[in-house]
Amino acid sequence: MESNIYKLLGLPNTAMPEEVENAYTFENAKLSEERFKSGIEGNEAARKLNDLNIEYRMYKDNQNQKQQGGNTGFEEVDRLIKSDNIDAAQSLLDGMMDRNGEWHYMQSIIFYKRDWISECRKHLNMAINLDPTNQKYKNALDKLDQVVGNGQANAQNFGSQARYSNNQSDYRRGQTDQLCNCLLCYCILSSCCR
Amino acid sequence: MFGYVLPVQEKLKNQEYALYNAFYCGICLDIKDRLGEFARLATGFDMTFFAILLSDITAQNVEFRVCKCIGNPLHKKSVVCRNTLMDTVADISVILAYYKIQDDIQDNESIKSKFVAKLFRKAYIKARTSSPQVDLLIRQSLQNLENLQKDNDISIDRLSHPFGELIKQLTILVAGDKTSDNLERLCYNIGKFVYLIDALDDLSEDIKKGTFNAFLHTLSSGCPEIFDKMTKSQVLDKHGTEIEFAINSTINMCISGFNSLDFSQSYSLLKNIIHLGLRKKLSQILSSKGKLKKSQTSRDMRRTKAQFRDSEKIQNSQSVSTIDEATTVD
Repeated sequence: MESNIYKLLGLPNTAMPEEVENAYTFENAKLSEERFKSGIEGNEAARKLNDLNIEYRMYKDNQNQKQQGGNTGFEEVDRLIKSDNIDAAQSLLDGMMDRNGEWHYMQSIIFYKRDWISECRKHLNMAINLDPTNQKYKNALDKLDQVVGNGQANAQNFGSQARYSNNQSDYRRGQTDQLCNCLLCYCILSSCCR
Repeated sequence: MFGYVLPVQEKLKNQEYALYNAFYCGICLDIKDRLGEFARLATGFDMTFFAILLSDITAQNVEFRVCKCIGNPLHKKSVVCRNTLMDTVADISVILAYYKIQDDIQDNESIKSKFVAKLFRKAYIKARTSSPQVDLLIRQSLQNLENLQKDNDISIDRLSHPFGELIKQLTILVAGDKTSDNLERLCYNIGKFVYLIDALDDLSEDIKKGTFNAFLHTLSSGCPEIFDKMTKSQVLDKHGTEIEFAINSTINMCISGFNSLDFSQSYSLLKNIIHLGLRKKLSQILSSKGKLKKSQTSRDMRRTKAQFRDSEKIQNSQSVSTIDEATTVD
């Protein structure tokens, strides 16, 4: 998940890591002092400090992944999945030694593409266990449970939506009975001839 | 054979019901004409679906004829005439049934299965001679499955993959250049569904007899003995969520593949099977204590005269409301 640290520190998204570090150190020190103030002011500072630390941790995690070359590898896996080159994406993923949350997330997408939905779910759970704050993983699991694995989900909502415009379904309805009508005509004809 | 992929009879219009039966009887008579009287027992609901689906996708010129049947000698029936597609489906039915009997012999060494296998052998050889590729595909996939069953740390998706892949390959074989990603996706998941639902249906029997069961094997990481003293409902209490998720997601993947296809002959009949039939079968099996009886499935598929009349009434009222709607729009 993308960190909101830039917003909290009042920096542009293009700010360099050093700028972020300096601004964070300054803001952290300031809020750490302010949280001991009495009343609403102190409480507000404590809340802000908590938010700041969560966002900073997320920012650092993302930075670490980038430094390890993880992200660029996943970008390539993502590109291969999008171009439907699933086997190549799998072998690239198999070659990665650091199996973090993102690795399991990518693996879950590959399983989804192969229609191996139980495996997909298993790897999403693993991704969430390794990175519990990641909203992207949680959203994916929610969708999987509420839609893909849901026996009550509306059957019309699966597959190509565009085919279910009114005109299209009328057109289909017109065509569907073609073979039934053939059989009907045949029955009428054969009973007339008897 | 398996009898898990079938329509919800009550929701079929009379002509759809007649069409479904015409295909079912068509396969049965095809087997009788080409492979022998006894092999007609191999006719099944799953392969009827397969024949209807692929006849539509390949825009087969389906012809009908009227004939009498040993099952109901007093009434003449309309049945689908033989064509190359029906012949191949008949071969697939008999070859699959033959291997299923072989599997039963391996599982329980019963004299009955051995006797049935002997009676089937002639028909199987005829079917194998006329569709050698079908036989090869089925044999390979069963071999793959047997190898996978030895692996203790295996997922339910990996275990159900060979049967899904088999139905996909059979589809490619029959549909030829009319095949498509969505059709293959539908048929792959139909194969997986049959494998999974069969495992769920056999759950109580497999616990009792200690025979291989895909769910018991994967849920226990290859140590199904832990379920030895449990009943089907106890297993479902403990692992129902995973089992239902596996089957529901497979059904929804079938629906997804189906919704993305274009049909020209039997859309509403096929839609009944995919949108309603698969889910109904799952709920029937989940709520039954033991294995579903085949006679029950056959009874579910029979339509009484009263049901015929009711269905007609509903259709008439629907057509009146359609006319009303059209008038309102005008």
